Amino acid sequence: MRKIFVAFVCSVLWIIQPAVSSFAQPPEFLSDLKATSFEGQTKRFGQFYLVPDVDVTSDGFGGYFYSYKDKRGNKTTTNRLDSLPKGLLTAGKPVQVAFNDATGMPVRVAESQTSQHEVSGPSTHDESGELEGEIYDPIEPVNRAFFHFNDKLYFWVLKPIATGYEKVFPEPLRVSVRNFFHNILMPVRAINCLLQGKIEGFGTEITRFIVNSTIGICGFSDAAKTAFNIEKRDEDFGQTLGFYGLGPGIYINWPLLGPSSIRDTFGIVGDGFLNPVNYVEPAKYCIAIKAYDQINKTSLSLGQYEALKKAAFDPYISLREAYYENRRYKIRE
Amino acid sequence: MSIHFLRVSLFLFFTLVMALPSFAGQPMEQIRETTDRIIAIVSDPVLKSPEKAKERKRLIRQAVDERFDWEEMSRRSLARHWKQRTDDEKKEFINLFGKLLERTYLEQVGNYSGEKVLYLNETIDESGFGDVRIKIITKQETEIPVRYKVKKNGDGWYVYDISVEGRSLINNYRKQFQRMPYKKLLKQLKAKVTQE
Repeated sequence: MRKIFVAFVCSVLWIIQPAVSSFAQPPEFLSDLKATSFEGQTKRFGQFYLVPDVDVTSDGFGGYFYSYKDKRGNKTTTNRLDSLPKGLLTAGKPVQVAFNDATGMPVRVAESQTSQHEVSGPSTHDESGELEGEIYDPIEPVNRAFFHFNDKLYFWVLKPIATGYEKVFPEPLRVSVRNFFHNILMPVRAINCLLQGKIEGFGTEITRFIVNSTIGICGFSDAAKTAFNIEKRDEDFGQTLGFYGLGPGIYINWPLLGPSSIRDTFGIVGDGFLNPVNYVEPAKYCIAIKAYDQINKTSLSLGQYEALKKAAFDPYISLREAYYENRRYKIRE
Repeated sequence: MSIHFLRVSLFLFFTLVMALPSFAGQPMEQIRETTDRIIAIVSDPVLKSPEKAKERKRLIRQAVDERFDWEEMSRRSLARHWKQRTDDEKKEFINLFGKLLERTYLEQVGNYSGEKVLYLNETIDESGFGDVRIKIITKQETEIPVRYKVKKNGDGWYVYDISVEGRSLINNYRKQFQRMPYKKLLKQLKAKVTQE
């Protein structure tokens, strides 16, 4: 167990090492960022990545897209932005851009240093049809197969069980069970607050755990929220890695676990060490507890997946984008 | 008598001056107004009976229609497809897409059971775009942050995108539409709107 943990920590350090080492020398046009902190973004330079040649194209409705070739030579395009960040006057000129790796958003723009670049006219981008996902999805066929598997698993197994369970147990009870499982995951949230330097969040989580475990009767009631109005903090190791500038890598739709990415898979493994349920022995009890937690959670969110599917034209893409945007949002928070 | 008159007119003048700008320029106020109206409709016990279902739907639809900019939503979702459409095709799409979004929205608010809405803050920029952030607290005590993106048109602010916990509705549709041929997309949309 110990060896696995050490190996895991080492590999994480290895991954975040380029991000940390870039702390030292910020590119020149970013040097003032330290003082200004662009719109609430963190000041850390390790969080940015710099792209020397970026096309900025107008979408014709007052918004802009950034497109560039990434390390692998693939054309990448950002989501539509409502306005250009400060420092950029006109669209259509190639520029160098500092992107926030975790959010994918440009934070600082300067004129491009390379001159051999072809200036592409506005709206060429619109016709190219290469708006496809910011999250890189090279194993889409495999992901789609697993998506299909998870879909069937939900409708054939999880949903019938959760519906039966929902009929038998009243909602307040199921909410209590959810609160209980949420409470015992305190180490995950607290430690990740700490890893991100959010000392206040760490304190909040510890306080919540103490209050909910005592006044809240073993965590079945969220007394910290209802009586003392202490908000919970939602942090996990995937977010911590994102906070230090690690991008999602590629999209992975795991069987059973659902939407994830390389980064967040590392996150799940890391958080596994802090999840008390994983220390339950023998393993069959551990699995049973997790299955029960899942059924209980599902019973409280019946209909949500159905709604997503009903509104979607391509549920796989809809789920993928929803996952990606939600993770980005959580990292930014 | 004249002093009284002066006092009254001064009072009226000041209240008007104070009230007018806040009325014309506040997206959050307008979102709140619409939300309150919809909550009033969905929690009205008279409208809850099955025979009133149609009336209830119509009232919600009316309230939603007044605050949502279906054209802007269609335009942003279609992106590259939009430019290749004729005016008639655009109109057709706006109508159908609006209906789909409306229905999705109706199904969500249809289950309303005393959720609370907190109005957090708003931002406006000079070019006439704004942001309204709210928080919905469900009866299971889960908090859902919601962000409305609004665009100014005349005196009103109209919603062109909704993000729930960072998931933008319009981005999601755009990503789905990008790879589909328009014909297939339209066919699917029609099927979705007609199936009830």
